[in-house]
Amino acid sequence: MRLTGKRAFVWQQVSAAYLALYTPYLVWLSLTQSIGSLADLFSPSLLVPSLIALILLLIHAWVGLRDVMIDYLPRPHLSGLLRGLLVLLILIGLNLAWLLTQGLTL
Amino acid sequence: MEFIIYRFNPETDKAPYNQTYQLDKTQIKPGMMLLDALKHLKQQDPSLSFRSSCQEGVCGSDGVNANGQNKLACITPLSELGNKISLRPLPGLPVIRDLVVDMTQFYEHYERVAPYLQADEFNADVEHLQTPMERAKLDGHYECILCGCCTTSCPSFWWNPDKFAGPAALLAAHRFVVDSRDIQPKQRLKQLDDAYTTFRCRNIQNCTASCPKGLDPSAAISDLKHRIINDD
Repeated sequence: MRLTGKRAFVWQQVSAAYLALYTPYLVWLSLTQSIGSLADLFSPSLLVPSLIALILLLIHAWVGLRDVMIDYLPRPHLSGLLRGLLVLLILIGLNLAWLLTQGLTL
Repeated sequence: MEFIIYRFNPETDKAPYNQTYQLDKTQIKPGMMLLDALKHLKQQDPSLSFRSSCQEGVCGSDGVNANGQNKLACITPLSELGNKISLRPLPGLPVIRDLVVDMTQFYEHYERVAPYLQADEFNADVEHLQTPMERAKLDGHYECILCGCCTTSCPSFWWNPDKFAGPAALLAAHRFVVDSRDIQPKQRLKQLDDAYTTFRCRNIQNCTASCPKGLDPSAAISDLKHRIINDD
């Protein structure tokens, strides 16, 4: 598994910047408007920013966990464990996407 | 004054141990450096091993870990260290004996960043001129004496000593990347771009805190990262 330097760093910075804006916006919305459930985050007006946040959150988690694993896990098992993490995050993403389509069709 | 010193002789010891030494107050002079104290202790116990050469903070050979911080023994006043001093070899490198570490890996990382000017073909009639501003960019870089205090205080180096270049090598890399006379800055940046060589740095800044010459390798690494990102 080839691990990138520059690309991972850029994605981490971009996702962190977006989430640093999105999260307070979400808090502000929840205080000023009626956002009571997860489904409200994917209402038509919030669908695009929330989807972007979701994707960037998964990317941010990948880079962050990847870096922690590179630093702390034994090298001989690292490649396999990183693949496992990638598969897990993809499954989480697919599961969230499936939940989203269920919510949207309801 | 009490010294607790890490001792290990691989030829006779199964495991490292700490040995306590006492230095009489009459032997301590005002302005005395840690290296001077070590020399007194070596007179007490000739088997105690440590490195030193120029003894004035230029050669970088007497880096030790004193009270948990990496320092150059020859320019560290005893008065800074208190009455009970714990001395250990520089962390993260194999110990050859007592306070002497094997610097091979450190020098290999340094070699890997090609720490020499790659300029145009040599022409004795034309000098490689720089403006004062271009020259000023090298300040804070060329003064590195390769003592290893920064690299061996870096947790990223402890975690990946064979792959992360370390602050000293990256400071040297930055010195040539910003040198206006070097014709290979892009090639240099490409060589530094992978998950380990540069991007293992997590901005912990132990390197800057421990540099006995007051240099800032952490800032140099941050600038290298930004140059790698902005490089096409």
